[in-house]
Amino acid sequence: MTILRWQRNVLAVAFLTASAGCLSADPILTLTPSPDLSGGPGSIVGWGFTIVNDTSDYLEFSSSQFCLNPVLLTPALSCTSPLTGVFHDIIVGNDPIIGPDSSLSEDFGPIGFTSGIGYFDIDPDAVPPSSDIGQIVLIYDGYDQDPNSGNATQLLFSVPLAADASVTVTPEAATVALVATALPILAMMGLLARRHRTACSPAFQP
Amino acid sequence: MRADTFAAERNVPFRRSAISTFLLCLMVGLPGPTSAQNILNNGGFETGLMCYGFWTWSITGIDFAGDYRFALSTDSHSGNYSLQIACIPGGTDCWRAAIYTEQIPAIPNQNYTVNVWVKCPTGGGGLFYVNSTAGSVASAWLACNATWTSNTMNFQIGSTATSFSVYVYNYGTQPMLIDDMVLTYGDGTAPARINLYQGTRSVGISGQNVLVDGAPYLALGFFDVPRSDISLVQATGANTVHGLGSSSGADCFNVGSESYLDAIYDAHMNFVPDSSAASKLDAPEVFPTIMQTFAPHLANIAWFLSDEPDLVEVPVFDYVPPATFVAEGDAARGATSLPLFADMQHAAWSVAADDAPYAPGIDFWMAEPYGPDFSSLEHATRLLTSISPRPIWLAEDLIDANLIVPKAYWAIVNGATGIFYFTWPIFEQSPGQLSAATQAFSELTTLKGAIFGSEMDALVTPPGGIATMSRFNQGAAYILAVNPNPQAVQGKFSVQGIAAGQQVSVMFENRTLTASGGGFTDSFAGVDRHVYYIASPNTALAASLTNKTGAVAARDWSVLVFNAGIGAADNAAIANLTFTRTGGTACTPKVAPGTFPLSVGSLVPDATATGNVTVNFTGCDSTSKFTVAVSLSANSGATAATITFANQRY
Repeated sequence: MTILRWQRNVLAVAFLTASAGCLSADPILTLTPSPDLSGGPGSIVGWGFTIVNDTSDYLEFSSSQFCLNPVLLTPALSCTSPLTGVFHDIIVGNDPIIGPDSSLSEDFGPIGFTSGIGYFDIDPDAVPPSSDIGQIVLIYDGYDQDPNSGNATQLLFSVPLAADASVTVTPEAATVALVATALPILAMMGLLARRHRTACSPAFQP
Repeated sequence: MRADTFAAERNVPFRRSAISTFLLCLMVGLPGPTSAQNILNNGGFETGLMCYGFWTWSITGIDFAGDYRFALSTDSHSGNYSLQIACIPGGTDCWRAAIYTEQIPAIPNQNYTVNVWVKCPTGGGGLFYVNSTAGSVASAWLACNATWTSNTMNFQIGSTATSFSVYVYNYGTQPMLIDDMVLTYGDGTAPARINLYQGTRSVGISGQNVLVDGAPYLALGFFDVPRSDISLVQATGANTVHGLGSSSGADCFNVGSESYLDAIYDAHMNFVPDSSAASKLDAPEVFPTIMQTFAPHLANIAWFLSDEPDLVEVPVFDYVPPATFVAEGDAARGATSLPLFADMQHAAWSVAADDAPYAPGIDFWMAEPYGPDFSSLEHATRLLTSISPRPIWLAEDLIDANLIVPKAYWAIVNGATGIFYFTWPIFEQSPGQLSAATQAFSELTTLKGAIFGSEMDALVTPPGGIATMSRFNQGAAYILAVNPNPQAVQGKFSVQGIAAGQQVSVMFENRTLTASGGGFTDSFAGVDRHVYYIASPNTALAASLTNKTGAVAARDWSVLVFNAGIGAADNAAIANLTFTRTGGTACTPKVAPGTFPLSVGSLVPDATATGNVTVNFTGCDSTSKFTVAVSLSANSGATAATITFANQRY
């Protein structure tokens, strides 16, 4: 978790909750910088995220998927795989724990794909302007304590958390050269992000 | 199952009619009882206005705007009640009012005698009148002597009349009591009452379905069917006749030939008796007698308690105060096991508060979303369901022929399980409407099994503007789709688990579509219906971990298995559960040998079942993390899936 920005900020939680038009005690997933991404055939695009946990539980994620609409979230996730490429998980592999009344934000890290929620590997044979429209769905469990503490009791089982997402195949191909051009910029962004890293929740596990 | 019963009977199609013919032959030669010879089965009004209609005329020209009221009186010539027609105190608009018998099957050129006892103040005005399908027959003034007075009129029915009706008018502002009306042939005789199929059908309510003979019932039929047209109605594919109307009642007349209800039963149809006129009399106490007299017949499957009792805008003809209505329902229930229902006129356009007070009086709903507008139907079904989720039957009328079929589907898609067209005489005179109703009955009867099949609405998402009902029945998936708007729609039906290349038949249109990944595409030119049929559809299995309980050495994991496809998952099972440790304290979870495959039974689409797996986590603690792979199988291994959950702890 190299580009990780933890924020335990109740005001931020309240703001994001209110801005989502919802005051319920359900986590909220927001994809960053945009839920709608585009890229050329053969390119890789990815999402960062903000997850606001306004529950009283510690959240841990067990799966992440990109599912085409319509998505059946209950009674068990029924997911239709995208057609223009393949989604790869990042967040579940990193296994962050989000404590009660906390939020976690993470940018997509295009180098090494080690941060963000996941990335989408657009098929080299995908035909512009085809697109996949659906949702990124996380499945999480909830605990009364940090599950890494050794004393936690699981309270929530296989709960879906979803956000709309799409990928559109564009005519311009993403090339290695393009990525190379962007590399210095991304490196600078990463450095800035590290400088702005704030204190972590007690639940945060580096 | 009623349909199955009929199907079996169709193998011996003349059994019922043969029995009835035989019994009638035996009975025709028998003299009727000499003490109570009467063609009318409610001449004494002991069952209120059963078998009668009523009407008032106003000086304003607006029917039912006058000041007459109808009521039962305990001042009777015999029995407990007489029927009173009276002007309300201080009423200034009492031109004339009448009660009239429902249509009595006529014997051409037959002489009849009608006698009635009336009690009206001297100077009051009453009139006998007989009208037939071949025109006016006879009339005579009634004597008003302030005491009970007998009045008799003889008349002969013409050679071309098929039925007739006897009217009793009050032309005065003074109250008139009517009792003991007796109609006989000219020689004073009358046929005995004959019911070949006396009895009570097994009818109940289950959720939002009416169960007849134990099976969900799809009611399709007409209002107001004369005795002479029963076979024509049967030919449309109708299975139910609604008693509301002027031409039919619940065993009201003894005419020597096969009774109305016997004829309905012999035609493999069912009947819904109507007590609307009686319901307007504010006399709940007569309803037990009504039920005892008219409900016991094998043709009867439900009882129509009252027509438009919520229509406060028409006080005399329609409105029944909720308290009276509920009292009528309670009284009726004490004497019949048939479910009660009523037509709630306000449901199509008003608010729940208008109809909610009536709910305790009935067992299921009827609404009347008439006309070409589809939104009032949706409004009615939603509103009534919001009050109390019960079966809903609909009355449909004033509808263009080209809208009849799609609106019938619209009714079904919105949850109705009964459609009655108002009225048979109107449809009989309109070939286009009759043809469309016949088509609707035919298609919906074909789809009956699907309509009452396993719900899988969650697995199908129609294009915007299209409403669907998705069901699974006998191994096939059905999607009933309706565009209720004139605007054309083209779009994709997203179907969970459907495979690319799957053939989708469009029933009744001789078309076939081919599914792409995740669904299929079709178009609607305007208001229309399509019925999609998918034979041998795919199954898709999903799973969720829903609970973990118990000691570390014998941890019970609940695995929910979900059939997320539109095909059957027969003999579904949890085939395996594997653990791969990814962090924390090292340990090795163990599942007892022989645990798998763990059967969870057969799952129809959109169904779930839970299997419990006992896992020994000895040596683990809550820091021990695993990736758990849940392997599922069904259909003898033809369907399989593996669902993975990372970061699992004991």
